[in-house]
Amino acid sequence: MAPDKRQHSDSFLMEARDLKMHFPIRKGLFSSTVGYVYAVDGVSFGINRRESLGLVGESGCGKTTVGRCLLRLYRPTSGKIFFQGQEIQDMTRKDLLKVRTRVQMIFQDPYSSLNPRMRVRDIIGEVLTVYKIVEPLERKDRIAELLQAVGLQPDHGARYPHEFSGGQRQRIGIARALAMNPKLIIADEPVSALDVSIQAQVINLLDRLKEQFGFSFLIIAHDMSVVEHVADRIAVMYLGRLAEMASDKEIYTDPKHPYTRALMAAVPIAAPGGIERRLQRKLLTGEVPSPITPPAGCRFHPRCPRVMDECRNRKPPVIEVQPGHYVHCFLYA
Amino acid sequence: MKTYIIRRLFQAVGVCLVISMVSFFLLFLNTDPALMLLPPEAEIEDIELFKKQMGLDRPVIVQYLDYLRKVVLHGDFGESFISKEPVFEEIASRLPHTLKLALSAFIFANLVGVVVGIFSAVKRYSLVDNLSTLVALIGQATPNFWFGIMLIIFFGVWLRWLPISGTGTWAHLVLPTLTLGTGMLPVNLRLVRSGMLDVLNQEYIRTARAKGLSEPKVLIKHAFKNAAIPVITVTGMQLAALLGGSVITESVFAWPGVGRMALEAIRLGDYPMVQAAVIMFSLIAVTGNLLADILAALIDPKIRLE
Amino acid sequence: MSGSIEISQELFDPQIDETPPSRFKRMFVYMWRYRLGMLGMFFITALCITAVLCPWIAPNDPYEQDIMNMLKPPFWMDGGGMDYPLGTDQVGRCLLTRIMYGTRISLLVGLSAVGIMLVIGAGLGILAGYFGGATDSIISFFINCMMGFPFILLAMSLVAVLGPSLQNLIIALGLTSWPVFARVARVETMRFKSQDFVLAARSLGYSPLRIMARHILPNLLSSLVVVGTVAVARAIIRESILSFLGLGVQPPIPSWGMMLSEGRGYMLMQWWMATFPGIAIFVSALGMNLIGDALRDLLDPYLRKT
Repeated sequence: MAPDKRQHSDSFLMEARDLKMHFPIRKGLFSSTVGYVYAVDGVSFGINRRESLGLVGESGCGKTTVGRCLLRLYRPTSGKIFFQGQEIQDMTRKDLLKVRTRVQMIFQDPYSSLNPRMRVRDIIGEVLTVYKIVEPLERKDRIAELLQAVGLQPDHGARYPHEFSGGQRQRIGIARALAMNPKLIIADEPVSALDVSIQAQVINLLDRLKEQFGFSFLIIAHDMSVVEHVADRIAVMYLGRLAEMASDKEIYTDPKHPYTRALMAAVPIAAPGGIERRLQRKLLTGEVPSPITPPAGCRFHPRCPRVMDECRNRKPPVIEVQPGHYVHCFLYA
Repeated sequence: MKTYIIRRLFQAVGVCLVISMVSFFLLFLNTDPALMLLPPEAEIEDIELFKKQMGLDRPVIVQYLDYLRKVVLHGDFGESFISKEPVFEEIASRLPHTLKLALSAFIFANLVGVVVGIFSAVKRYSLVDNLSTLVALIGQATPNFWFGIMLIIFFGVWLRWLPISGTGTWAHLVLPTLTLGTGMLPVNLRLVRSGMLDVLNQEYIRTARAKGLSEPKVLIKHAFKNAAIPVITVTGMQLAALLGGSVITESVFAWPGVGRMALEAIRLGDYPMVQAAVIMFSLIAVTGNLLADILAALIDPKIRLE
Repeated sequence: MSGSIEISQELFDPQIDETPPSRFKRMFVYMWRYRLGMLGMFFITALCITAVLCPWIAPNDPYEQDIMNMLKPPFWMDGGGMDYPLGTDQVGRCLLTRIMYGTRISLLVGLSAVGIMLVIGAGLGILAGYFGGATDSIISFFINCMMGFPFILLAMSLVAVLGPSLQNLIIALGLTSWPVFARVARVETMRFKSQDFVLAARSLGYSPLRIMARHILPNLLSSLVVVGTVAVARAIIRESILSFLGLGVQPPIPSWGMMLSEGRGYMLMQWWMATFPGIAIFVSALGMNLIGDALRDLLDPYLRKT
C-alpha cells in the first residue's frame, strides 16, 4: 500500500506490507491440512515515530493477529514487516532479540497477563535483569520509577498480582512494557476487560505516557470510543483486510467506507441537553462470515448496502480520497 | 472416530514392540544364556560351539528380529531354560488360573465399587458413605500382600474358615480374590462416588426428576452413564494393575498362575519365560488401555477430538 | 510455597464477625478443617523423628541377635516382656527396634525415588507441554509405553539386571513411576502456555529455558506437590513389595518388606512378625495420602483464584 505522502516513506517506524497470516486447519489421521483460517489477508500500513495508530474492528477481524505478527509471536504466512527499515518477518530468534527490546506489548486480560507466582517487582524487574538495562544497584529505583509512572506506589512491588484490581494489573502490565523504554508499544485491547469507569483512567494514562516517554503506539480495539481519544490515525479492519484508514478527525467526521459508516452509526453521540441520539445512518444486518470461508472479492459485499457487481468478484483497490485518507472500496474507484 | 481408533491401534502396537525390545535387551545384558543351559563343567570351547549352534553369537538385533519372527509367525516363544518345555505351553497351562483369579477380583472390585459408590453418592454423609470413604482411605494405604497375609492369619489360621493356599474349590478363591480386589476397590469407590456426585448436581438430572421419572431410572439411565466415563478409563489401567497384583497375590497364596511363574522365572534367570511373560503382560495391559480409551471415546465424543 | 495465603479470611463472614479473629483462632479453624491432613502430618512427623532419633530412642540394637530369646511374643502376651516390646524374630532381634530403623529405609527410598521421578517426569512433561509438536508426540508415546507396563515386571527386571541393593532399588522405583508426574506436568504446562503471561514472556524475548523454569514451573509446583505426596506413599509400598520378593534391601538391613517376608514363614504361630511391620507401612502410606488429599483441597481453590 502506498505510504502516506505527507510523511517520508522510509521513515515509518513499523510497517506492514501485504501481511498475510493463514492458520492451517488440520484434521484426519496424518493431520493433513483441510483448510485455512484467513485471519489476516493482505494488510498494509505504517506507523510513524511518536504517532499513535488505532486499529479497530469487530471480534475475529484479525486485528489481534496483526498485532502478534508485528511482534513476531507468529511467523507471517506471507508479506513483509519492517521495523526501523529492517525486514523482520523471517528473522532468527537471535536477531529478533534486538528488535524485541524496542517493541513491547500490553495484553488484554489483566488476570492472565501477569505471572501469579511472581511479585510485581520481579515481573518488572526481570526485564531489567535479562536485558541488563540498569546496574543491579539501580534496579530498585528504576522499578519504583516505573511503578510511579503508571500511578502505583513503589511498595506495591512486594505484592502479588492477585492482590490488585483489574485496572491496577493493567497498569503493572504497562509498567512492564515501559521497562525497556521501547520505541513502539502495541496494546491489544488494553481496556476491554475493565469496567467502563476504569477504562477512561487507563486510556488517559496511556495518553500521558505516550507524551512522556515518546513511544509510538498501536492500539487495537473493537470499540471506537476507546481509540478516539488517544489515536492520531485510525485504521478499520474487516475480516482480515483493511477497509479504511484516515486521521482520527476524518474517520469521525467523514467516514467513506460503508463498513466504517455502519460502525459510526453504532456509536452513541451525546447531543446538547444531555439527550443521546444516534446518527441517522443505516445499521448493519447479518453476522460476520467465518474467516475460514470468506466471501470472494470484497469481504464486506454480502452485507454492504451499496454493493455493486464488481464487489463480488474482485478485490477492491486502495484509493486515496483525500491526502492521508485511504479507502478500500469500489465506490471511490 | 475411525481415525482415532486407528491412531490408538498404531500406538498400541508400537508400545508393545518397544516394550518387547527393551525387555529383550535388558535380559540379554544380564548374563549369557549359554551358561544357563550347559552344565557347569563345560569347557570354553564347548560353550563357544554351543553358542554357535544355537545362534547365540549373532548380534543382538538379529537375535531379536529372529525371536520376533518366531513369535509372530509361529507363536513359538522358545523353551524354558528350567523345564525345557515350550514356554507357550507352560504359560497356557497356567493362564486359566490367573484369569480365574483376575476375573473374580475384577468383578468383586467393580461390583462392590460401583454399588457402594452410587449408594454413597446418593446418600451422602450416611453411615455407608462415611464407612466407604474410610475403607477407600485405608485401602489405598494398605499394601496388598500384607493384607493377604493378614487375611491368611485371621481367616485361615485363627478362624480356620478358609483354605490358605493352593487352588481347587471356590473356597480357595475367596481370600486371593479379596486380596487382589482390594487393590482396586478404593479407586473405584472414589471415582464412582465423585463421578456420581458431579453428575447428580447437574441441571439435566433435576429435569429428569421433574419429568417424573422414577428415581432408579434417573440414577441408572442418566446419571450413571455419565459418571461411568472416568471409571471406564480407569478400568483399562486396572488391567495392568491386576496383572501386577497377581504376581504378588499368587506368591502369597501359592496360586498356580502365570504371575508366580514369572516371578520364579526372574529369580532363576529363565529368560525365554520372562520374555514371554513380559510380552503377554504388556499385550494385555495395552489392550486393556486401548479398549478403555475406545469405549470412553464412544461414550464421550469430546475425547475423540484430542 | 511463596505467596500469602489469605484464604482463612474467607472462613469468616465479614458481616457477622466485626473484629477479625486472632491469629490463633484462625490457625485452629484451619487445623480442624484439615484435621485429616493434620493427622497425616502427625504420622509423618512421628516417622521422621523416629528415623532421625532411632539410635537414641530404640530399645535395642537392630542387628543384635539373641537366639535364646528368639520368637518372643509382644509384651502383652504370655512370655513377652518390655525388654522386647513387640517381640523378636527368628534370630532374636527386637522387632520394635527393627521397625524403627526400618523407618529410615522407607523414608529414604520414598523421598529419593520421588525425587528422581520429579526430575525426570516433570522435566519431560514440561518439555512436552511447552514445545508440543514432535517433541510432545515422542515424549507422550514414551509415557504411554511406560504406563502400559506393569510396574512389578519392570522393577523386577531392572533389579534382576542391576543386582539388588538400596541404590538400585531407588533407581528402579524412580525409573518406573515417573509417567504420572510427566502427565500432570504436561497438561498443566499446556494450560499455562496459553496464558497471556507466557505470551508476554515470549514477546519479551525470554529464552524458552527461562520461561519454563521461572514462569511455568513455579505454577506447576502445587500440582506436583500433591502428586508427589501420593507418589511417596506408593513408593514406600512398592519398596516393601520388592523387599518382600527379595529384590530390595538385603539382610541384615531392616526393611519392613523384608521383615514381612521373613515373618511369612512364621505366620502360623508367630503372627506378630508379619503384622507389625505391615502396620508401619500402612501408617506411613496413610499419612502421606492424608497429607496429599489435604494439600489438594487446600491448593485447588487457590489455584482457581488465580
